[in-house]
Amino acid sequence: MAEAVPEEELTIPRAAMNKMIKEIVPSVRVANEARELILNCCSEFIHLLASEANEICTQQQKKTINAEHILGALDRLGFNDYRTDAEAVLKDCKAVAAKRRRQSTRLENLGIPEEELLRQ
Amino acid sequence: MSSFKPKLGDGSIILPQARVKMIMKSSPDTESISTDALYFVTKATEFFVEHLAQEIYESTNKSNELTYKGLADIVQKSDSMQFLKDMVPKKITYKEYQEILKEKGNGDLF
Repeated sequence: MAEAVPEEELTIPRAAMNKMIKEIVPSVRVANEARELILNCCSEFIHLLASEANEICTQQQKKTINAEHILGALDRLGFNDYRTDAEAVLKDCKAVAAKRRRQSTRLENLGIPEEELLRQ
Repeated sequence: MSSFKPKLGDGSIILPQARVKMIMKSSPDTESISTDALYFVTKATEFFVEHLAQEIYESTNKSNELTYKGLADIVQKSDSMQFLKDMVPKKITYKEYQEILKEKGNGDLF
């Protein structure tokens, strides 16, 4: 999409939202009005998270918002459930990434370049 | 509030991180964000949507529709969703609105 999105309308793309809703509640019809609303609520949530994390970041006199600030913000805003789940997910994510790196090193040692394997 | 167990908790991300970053940056004074932080915000937003959708689904007795009303009810009820109150006001009839105006006295609204 070539057009710039005006700031007030900056939201998650509808397609991504639709995909998520489909996965979460597959058998449920969602009114268009409700979809629009959920999109805006998401933006609001992100802004809220960003401001809270920014505050924590400033209090610690750091320049970059890091993961700890986000987790702290989730706690302060009353979303500890998300915090626990997100942490668990990040751990899995890192484990998967590390495993992939180890596997690719092993493959390199076998002498088969990764591109060859990807082509198959 | 029922305990929240995410379906989308498998590490993959559906929401585009680039867009999430743009939204964050449009917040005043937000400077740089680390990669991990961006990941957490994106994931948290996914959980948020999931949580919202599940709550509405439960509260409307597993009916087959997610409507504006369902959303408005959840937002009013849940503590952590209070920040959305202004975005999802309960719809009222014009008659109710007139009664509210009468009670407040027209001068107070402006």
